[in-house]
Formats: sequence, C-alpha cells, structure tokens
Amino acid sequence: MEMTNDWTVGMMKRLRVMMRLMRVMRKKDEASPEALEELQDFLSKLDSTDDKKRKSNDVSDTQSASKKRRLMQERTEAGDEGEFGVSVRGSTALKLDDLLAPLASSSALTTLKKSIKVLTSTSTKTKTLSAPLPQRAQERLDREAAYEQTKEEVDKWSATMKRIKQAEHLSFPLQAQSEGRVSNLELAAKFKPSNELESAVDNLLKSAQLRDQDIAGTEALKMAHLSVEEVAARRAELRMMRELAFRADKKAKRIAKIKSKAYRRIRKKQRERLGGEEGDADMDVEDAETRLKAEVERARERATLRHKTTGKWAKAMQGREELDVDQRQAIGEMLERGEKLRRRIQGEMSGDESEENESDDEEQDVETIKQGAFEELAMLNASDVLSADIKSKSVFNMKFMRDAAERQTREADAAADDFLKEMGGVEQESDDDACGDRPVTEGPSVQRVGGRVIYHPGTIPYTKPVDSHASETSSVTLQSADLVQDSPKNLNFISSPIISSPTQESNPWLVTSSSSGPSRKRSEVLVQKGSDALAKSTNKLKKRIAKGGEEKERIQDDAVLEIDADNVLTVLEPASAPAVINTKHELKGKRKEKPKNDSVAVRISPADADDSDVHSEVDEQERTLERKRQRGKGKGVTAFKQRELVSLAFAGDNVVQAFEDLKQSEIEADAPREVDTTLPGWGSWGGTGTKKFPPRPNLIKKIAGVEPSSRADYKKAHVIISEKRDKKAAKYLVKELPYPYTSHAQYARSMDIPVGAEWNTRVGFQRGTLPRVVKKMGTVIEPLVKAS
Amino acid sequence: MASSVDSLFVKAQNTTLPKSLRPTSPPPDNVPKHKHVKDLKLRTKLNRQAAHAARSKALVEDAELLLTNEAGKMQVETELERTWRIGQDDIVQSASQEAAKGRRELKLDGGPYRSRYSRNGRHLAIVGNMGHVATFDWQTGAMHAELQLQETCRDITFLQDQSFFAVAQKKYVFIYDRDGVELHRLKAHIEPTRLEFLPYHWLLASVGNNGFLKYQDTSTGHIVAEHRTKLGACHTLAQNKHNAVLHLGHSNGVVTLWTPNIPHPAVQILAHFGPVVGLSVDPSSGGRYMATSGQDGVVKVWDCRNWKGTVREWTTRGGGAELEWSARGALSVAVGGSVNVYTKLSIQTSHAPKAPPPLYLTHPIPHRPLTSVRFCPFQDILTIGHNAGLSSILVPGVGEPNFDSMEADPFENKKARREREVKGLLDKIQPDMITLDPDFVGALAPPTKLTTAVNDTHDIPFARLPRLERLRVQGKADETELVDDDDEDVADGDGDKNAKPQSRMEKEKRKMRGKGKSVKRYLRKQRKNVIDPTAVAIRAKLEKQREEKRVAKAIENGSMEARKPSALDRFRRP
Repeated sequence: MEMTNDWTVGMMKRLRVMMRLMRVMRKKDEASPEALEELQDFLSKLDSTDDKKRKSNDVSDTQSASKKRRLMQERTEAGDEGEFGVSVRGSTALKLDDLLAPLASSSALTTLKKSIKVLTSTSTKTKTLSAPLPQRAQERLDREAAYEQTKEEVDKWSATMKRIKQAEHLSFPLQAQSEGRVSNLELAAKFKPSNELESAVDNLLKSAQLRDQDIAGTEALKMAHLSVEEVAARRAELRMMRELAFRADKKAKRIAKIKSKAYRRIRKKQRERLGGEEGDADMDVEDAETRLKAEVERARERATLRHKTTGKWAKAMQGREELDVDQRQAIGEMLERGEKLRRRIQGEMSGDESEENESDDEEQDVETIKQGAFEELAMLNASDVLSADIKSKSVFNMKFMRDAAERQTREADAAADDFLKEMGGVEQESDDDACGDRPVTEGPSVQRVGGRVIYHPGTIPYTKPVDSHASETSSVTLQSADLVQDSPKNLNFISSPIISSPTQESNPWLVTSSSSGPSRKRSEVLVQKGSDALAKSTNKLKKRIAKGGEEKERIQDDAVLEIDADNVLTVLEPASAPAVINTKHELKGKRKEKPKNDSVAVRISPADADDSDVHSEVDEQERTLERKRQRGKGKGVTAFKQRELVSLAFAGDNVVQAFEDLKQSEIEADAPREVDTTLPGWGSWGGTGTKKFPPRPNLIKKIAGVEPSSRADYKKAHVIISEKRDKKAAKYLVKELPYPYTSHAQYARSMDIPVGAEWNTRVGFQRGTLPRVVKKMGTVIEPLVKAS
Repeated sequence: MASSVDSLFVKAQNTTLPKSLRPTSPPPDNVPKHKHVKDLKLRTKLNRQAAHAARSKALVEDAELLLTNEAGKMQVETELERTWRIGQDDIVQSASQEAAKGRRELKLDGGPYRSRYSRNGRHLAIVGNMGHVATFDWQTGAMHAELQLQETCRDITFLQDQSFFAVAQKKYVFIYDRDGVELHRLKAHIEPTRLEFLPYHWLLASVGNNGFLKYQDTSTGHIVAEHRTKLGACHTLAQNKHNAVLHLGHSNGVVTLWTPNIPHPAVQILAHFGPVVGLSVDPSSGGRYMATSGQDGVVKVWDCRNWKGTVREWTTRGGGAELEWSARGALSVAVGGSVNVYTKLSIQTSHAPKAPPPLYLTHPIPHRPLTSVRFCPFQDILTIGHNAGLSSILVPGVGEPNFDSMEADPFENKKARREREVKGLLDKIQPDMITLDPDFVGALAPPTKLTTAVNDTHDIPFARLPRLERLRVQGKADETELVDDDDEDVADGDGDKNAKPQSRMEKEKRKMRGKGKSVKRYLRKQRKNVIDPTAVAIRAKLEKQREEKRVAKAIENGSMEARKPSALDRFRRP
C-alpha cells in the first residue's frame, strides 16, 4: 500500500513536471527572454530533485518493508505550492491539445482531430441546451415526421398500385426482364477506358482514326464521291472474296476427309490381314459367334416376310388397281428387299452397297481404295482450276491477297501431295502383299457366302447369273405369277336378304311379292297380340260404361271396332291395294277406278273418301289445291264431317274426364291446407247439451302448399305440370345471390356465357378461362423497381 | 408535380392481356354499360362480362363461316309445280352418285323391322320382330354382327357408339358387343317394348309391358331409377335430345315426361283421345316442338315451353302414324301405306285450324305396317322399317350438312372412337342433372311457390332474409332489369300480388343495425318532398321503357299492329 502510494506520488510529481515543461515549451514560442530563463531554472532544478527523489525513493522502497507505515497528508491542491510552484495564470489552463501535441505527426491523431472538429466548434459557442421534450410528445413528433416521409415515399407507388388493382390480368413478373445476353456491339458502344493501358490504346486508336465511328466517317467520306455502280462493284468484290475464302476452306476439309477415309480403309484391310494370319487359333470361337449372329439375322429377315409377296399386306396390295405414291414406293421397297435377299443367298453383293458391304467384299482391296482416293483428288483439282479462272482482277491482284491465297493453295496442295506420297508408298507394299497372299484353296471347303453356308468340293464356286434364279425366289416383279388380279369381293353385306336396286323395281306396288303370304300370317299373329291389349282396354271401357248410358256404349264399341278393323285392314292392304299413283297424270283417273273395300273402316270414313288410305295424304294435298282454286265455294265441309265422326268414335273413352279428375286431385294435393288437430274430449266438455265450439285457432295447423292460381298449368286443361320440388336437382342450384351481384338478372347474365371449348372458339375459350394472375413456375418474382 | 409522378411511374407492362388474346376490334355496340350501378368494382366486372359475352358470341358467329357445307333442297320453279309430286326415281337421277347410294331397299324376312342409326350416322342397327338383328356400316357395307335370336325382338339401340348395342327382346334387354357377342342380360328390364339411350348421361332407358320406366347406367351398371307409370303397357318412347327428358305415350292418350329424379311425371299432357302411337321431339329447335300421333289418326305438334296448346294439328288417314323429326326440323309421318315429309317452315308458320301443312315429299310403301322411321344423321336419308324389310329414301335437305367432329364424326377411325369413348366417360353427366330446363345448373334457386294459408304473414327477421331480399329492403338491389324468363315473370307477378307494399315504418324497422341513424332519418324526411329533376327523368324513362315493352309484347301476340314508319315521322318529337 505504501509502496503504491509512494509510486503514485512520484508519478504525479513527474507528471506535473512534464506539464510544466510543456507549458514552458509552449511559451517558448513567444520567445521572451524571461521565459528562457525560467526554463533554464526549471531544468536545473529538475535534474537535482529528480535524481534525489529517485534515489530516496529507492532507498525508501528498500527500507519500507522494515519501517512502520507512514501517514501521508491528503492533498487538495494540484501540485506543490511553494516558491518553486507554478503560478497558475488564467489563460494558461491545460487543454487537450497540449497533451496531444507530441502526437501531432501520427496520422491516427489527425483523422481523429478531423472527426472531432465538429464537436469542438460547437462547444466553443457554449450555448446551453434546452430541456428535452417529454418522451411521449417527442415520439409523437417523430412518428408524424416519419409518417410524412413514408407517405411521400409510398405515394409514388399509388398510381402503379391502382393500375395493378384494376388490371384485368396480371402476369408475373410484372416488369419485363432485361435481355440476359449482351451483344458485342452493345459492349463496344458502352466501352470507356478505365485503366492506363486501355486509355493508351484508346488514344492511339483515336489518333490513328481507327475507332468505329471514325471508320464509318471515313468510309462515308470515301463513298461520298463514288457512283452507285462503283459501290455495287465494290460490294460484289467483297462478296467474291468471301466466297473464295469459303471455297478454299471447303477444299482443305475435303482433302482431309479423303485422306482420312482412304487411310482408315487401308488400315482396316491391314488389320484384317494381320488378324487372319495371327488369330487362326481363336478362329473357331469367333467364327462360331459370327455365324450364330448371321443365322439370327437371317431368321429375322425371313420372319419379317417383307421380301416376299406372300405376306398379308402384299396380297392386299395386289388387289388394288390404282396405287398412290406411298403404296407404290412400299411395293418397290418390298421387291428390292426380296432381290437383295436372293442375291445374298447367292453370295453376290451389289455394287452400290454402302461401306459396310464394301468392307467385307473380298475383291476390293487397297489398290482400288487408293485409286478411288486419287480420282477424287483429281476431280477436286479439276474443279479448282475452274474456280481459279474466276479470280482475275480486282482485290485479288493486291499483293497480300495473292499471297494469302497462294499460301492457302500451297498448304492444300502440300497436304494432297503428302497424302499422295504416303499412299504411293503403301501402294507398292500392298501390291506385294496381295500377290503373295492370295490363297489357293484346294480340297473340300466350307464357305460362307452371305446368309447361306455352301459346301463344295475343291473349287471356289462361281456365282450364277442373277436372271437364272429369278424364278426360284418368291420375290419377283409385280407382274409375276403369284400376284393375281382378282376382282374385288362382292360387297353384299347381308347374306340372307336380297338387295335389289330400286331402279330395277320401278313400281313396287305392281310387283306381287312372294313374301306377302308369310307376312300376312305373321301380322295376323301381331294383330292377335295387339287385340289382346285392346281387349283389355275394352274391358276397362265396359266397366266405365256401366256407369254411363247405353248410347255411349254403342259408340264406344264402334270406336273399338274401328281400331280393330283398321289393324286388320293395314295387314290385308298390300295384297288388295291394286295400284299406286306415282305420277300426277295417272292420279285422277285411278282414284275412280279403285274398288271399294267394304270393311268396317268404311263406316267411319267419310262417304266421299276412298277406302284406300294408301295415298290419303296425296289426295288430301290434291284436294287442298283444288279447294284453293275454287276458293269461296265452301268445300271445307268434308273435313269437318270426318273430324266429327272421329270425335264421335272416340267420345266415350272418358279420357278427358279422367284427366280432369286427375288434375283436380293433383291441384288439391298440392294446395295449402289447414288441419284441425283438436282431440275430441280434451279441453272441452262432452255429453248432451254441450255447445259445439268452433275449433280453436291455435289448434289449426297450416300446411304450406302451392296456390292453384300460381301453378304453371293454371287454366291449361289439357296439361298437368308437377309443382313438386325436385330435391335431387336442388343441389345444383344456388340458394343465395352471390356477393358482388345486386340483382338476379346480373347473375343470370354472368352464368349465361358458356365457358367450355365446345361452345366457343379457341380464342373465346382461352379468353374466358384466363386466370387473373399468371406466373411462370420456377421464376423468382422480383419486387417492382422504379423506372429511372 | 404531375410530371414528377409520371417520371416515377413504374412500368408494370404485364398488366394487360397476352397479345394473342387481345381484342382486335372495338367491342360491339349493343354491350350494356351498366351506368346505373354505383359500385365501381361491380360495374367494371359487369362491363367486362358483357364485353366478353358479346365478343365470344361474335367470334362464334364468325366461326360459322367454316361451316361450308350446304343443305340440299327441292325447289319449285313455277307455281303449279309441287315438290311432293317428284318421286324417288327422279330424285335419285338428279342426285349425285354418292348421294344416290342412300336409296336402297332391304328385303328381309321376319319383319316388321325397326332401325336405329348411330350418332354419327355411319352405322345402322336393324331388328326384325322375329329376332333377326344386324348391325352394319351402311356406307362401306361392312357387316358388324348378324344374329338370329329366335324370339320376339321389339327394339334396338346403339349405346355410346357402334361397339355396343342393346336389344329389347321377349323377356329382357340384352346388350351385345359389336361382333354380336352377348355381354349382359339386363334382368331388371322386364318385357321391354322400347329403348332409348341418353348419350351424355350414359343411361339406357327402357319401358315395357308392365308400365315401368327404368334407367340403367351403362358405365357403372347401376339401375338409376325405376318409375312406375301406372298407365299400363307403353309402346311409345322418345327422348328430347336437348334436355334428356323421356317422353312416354300411353294407351289413354296421355303423354308423360319423365326425369330420373322424380318418381312421377314432370308433365302430363292429354294429347289424344286414343292410344298414342308416335312421338318425337324436334332436335333442331332445342327441343321446343314435340309431335304426337294417336290411334285416332291425328298428328299434333306441341310447343314444349309452356304447353299452351298445339302449334298445329291435322288428321291423317290410316290410323296411328310413326313420327320422326330430322336434324333440320323436317317431320316425317309414316302412316297407312306412305311416308310424308313436312318441312320445318311449313310446320311452324301460322295456319288455318286443323289443316295439314303443305307436303314436302311423299313416298308410297306397299309393305304395311310401317313400324319405324329414322333419319340418318348428316345425310338426306330417311329409313323406313316395314313388314318386308327396310327402305331408305332420299329426302333432300333434311340432314345437317356440317358435322362437329368433336361430337359425332362420321369419318372417325378406331383411335378417335376410343378417345371419344374415354372423353365421353370423363364428361359423363350425373343423372340428377336431367330436368325440364337444362340450363338450371348454377342458376339462382327460384323463389318457392309454397304458401301457407290465405292471410299468411311471413315474419322473417331481416338478418335471416336471403341476400337478395335484404338488398331489396335496403334499396340496394338493382331493379332495372328482370330475367327474361317466362317462369320468372310469373313468379314475379305473384310476388307482387302477394307482397303488401311495406310501410316506411316497417322498412325502417328492418334496416340493418346501425343504419337507421336519427340524423339520416331526419334527412330522409327532409328529402321526401323534394322533387328532383333527375328522379322525375328516371321515372319518365322507366315509364317509357315499360310502355315500349308492352307494345312489343302486344305486337308479338298479334293483338296490335306494328306501327309502320311514315313520311311524317321526321316531324315527330323524339
């Protein structure tokens, strides 16, 4: 404790000294002799005291452990006050700057000072701050200000938001995205030199006037005095240049291709030869494998049957007389296939087979390959000569162009020459090989030719000419034997019935059909069945008539009879109907001739009408025409008579009455009614002499119903329309008027528009079903951005 | 300031329609503008809907340009000529070679025969009463199946396409595949007399001697509905292709309309005094007309929309007539010994009472009875089944000339057929959806007609009222237009009659909570006596519209003559 105290005291002293020193130093600026003196004094003092102190301090430190602690006086003043004490003057108060002065050179301090500058300046004004507002008031003010700000900010969006809200359709993202790729031109246009190198290059370009805009300018300048023809010529020249460059390119490519192709082929041959020599050991395995493969191939070929004319399809094609392009092509293909197969069987390949066929061709060897390659090259050169003529004058006369072209041709030629040289070398070798290696087989051998294995003794068989085998194979030309042109099948589609064309049978009425006999029989059966039902109805009627008068009964009987008779009549008619009126000339005469048929039907038909109702309609029409001609003579009586008679005949059916009753009962069942639910003997006195009270209103139960006058069939005697609620269909109805609509008509109209594609055109349908908001799946929807 | 806003404006380009869907022309003129709707959002929506509706309609009309085929017809040159005087020989001679192939006679034993074409008109199924069944592609003459079933067969129909067909045999309905292999015996259908197949619902319907109408789903095999008609044996069945409602004709002269949903007929019509023999619904007019014929020899054409009576009726001779409408609305009537064809125009135009319509074509057939008439779809061919087989005649101009290959393609191949089958299954409609009005799906439920007693007062609290009623009470409902539907009109009229005009007190009582502020009430009272020129104008305008509507209706009814424009009109006040 002591020690620390001592130490602190020492420190303070030292600090004080330092401060004094600094003060003096500051004073030094003023450079008064007084001050200098003072300083010297001070320094001299400083040395002695300081050393002493330090020594004493050291001593005291060592001694302090043994010594008792010493009480120290508490000091209130800043420093020792005495004769040597610093007189404190008003203007020389210690400031922060004083402390910081030695650090003036360090950069950290300068920055700090800069930042503090603001504070220091305000502090100099030394204004007193007013007391802050109460928190609530302050916050309110803050909020108001913030609101103003935010409102201003948000109001900028109000127009947009209004538009979005009112929009019929929104497809997100709402703002079209900028083009993802930036073109070179765009980049070039935007380019600004940023670093030294770029600016240097730019300057150079500028000075040389080689920038885009400069070039354009110079070109325009140059073009300015040119005529149209000259410009056209220049353009043509340019085009030619491009063309030639392109050709040269193409030629080089072609040469490379020929080279590589020939090379590959030769390599293949070599490999085969080498493989044949070396791999005799594993020949069996490989051979077996390849054979198996070939067998499979062959089986497949045969399975498809597409090489033959025995297939279903081929046969179908035979019957056709006129073939369209596709079919003809298909037939051709089929024949070709057959031909190919036949050849394969015989083991000879066609010359025009593609590469894979060539590869297994024995005869074609390296030489031919090379020959082919050379020929191709020669052709290429020949064509080149042609093209060389074209370049005669113009730009190509310029030196650099000529050089470039020459270089190119030289390269191509060199490539070709190399190739030739290489080939030449190989050629000789292969020739030797070919001579030496040609095998001469003797003794029986098994050879595989194409798809068929041929066993032959000794010699290699020679393939027969193609023609001799033509008849052996099934595949031949269209005219060959198995394509029989048989006529299309008879298309009668019902076997039992005879379909006679209507033209043969000009007047069906005059022909006595053989079927009329049995048909009559059958229809009699029918009538019996029908009459059975009718008998029932007559029974019913009789029951009803029991109530009615006898007079009615007779009429009803008549009616029933009429139906019966009519049925019989219709059956008998075909036989009895003698003639038909096909043409109008015959019509009038025939009507008279028709024999009268005295069956029951006559009774009900009007006197002037004919019995035969075969052509009643025609008659009727004729009659109406007649009537029209003699208008005003009152001939409508006949029709009326008939109607009267019919109604007379059916009058007793009581159907009208029955229907009315039914309707009445229906109306009553549906009508609202009141039911008296009083229980006799409850809540009232019984016995003799009691008064009969009317039923109490609270005991009358009202049952809801449909008023007769509000029925749909009100005042329509012949119809009953059910007023019962269709419960099952009710679930498809809307019970309440849906929200935005304020009237039934508005809603009904909105539902009137059909939505489905069946009732609309494509555009109408898509427009009708377009959702309000559309967004692309997987795209990020960015918030709206203000346009600058 | 504005310029700065503009400069800050964010270019959100993709708020417009895709280029391919953008309209190329200005919207049609007659698009309603909905100016009376105050709500901007709703108004925009309505306007957009209206514009889209008008556009798509115009597009569809444009696309009709692609229907290039024209229907043929016969025309008279002079007034004395009649089309019905032209016989089949003449028609065949003048028809092209390909079209003339349609004229043919099939002479078959075991008749009388009935026939049915597949939906694409390519395949024909025939059945003889004695059990001879055959299906074939009539154009190429390729036979699919021929069976001798050795028992009474009453009807035949193809199912979804030519690969299946159902035969109504003596006891049950049997389903055969294309090659005539028996696949199913439908034991639920007992003694069937007539069959119909509803293609969009995949329902096979049969009606039999026991008077039951049965629906069977041919994709799942379930019996969907069995209805007891209570009217005895039924021999007449037809379907309305527009709404898939089945029409039955009964022996007491009543025609009943059935849906699978309700166990009683939706509509019953007393059509004839005798048994109903023939029945057919016009496919050309959206199922608007129905033709019936009875044993009493009367043919009637009905308007199916409101059943106000017959459009036309006439008497034929020879008893009951077999009927069939063609795709273009020609009606064929096979009666007695001949087939008569009437055109659409002649049937629908007004006429003298009970006079037959002018005949278009007639053809005599000597083999009675004529048991079926069928038009071949997309062809001008009418096939008549009779005692001695079948005869096909040419009737120019009755077939639909343009086919929709998505719907029924006469030239479809195997792959297309398969695809259509799968697509048809995916698009199958539930049998519940069969009602008289096929557009009901998604519509607002009509107000109920149920009322209790005479002086009944519904006291439903405001909060529990349906939305439309609430809007009406609040005065926010848009009352300017009514739905142009007959039923709706009737309902509205009734509603007006029944509903008492509400007093202001009552109205205010039913205001939404918090809306009846005293200040507002005061202001409203203040407003009451103010005669506003705009209000007057609106009232006058409404009155004028109503008057115009009334006049238009009167003209339509025929009770009023349309005013002919005169030269003095230019001096009229607008």
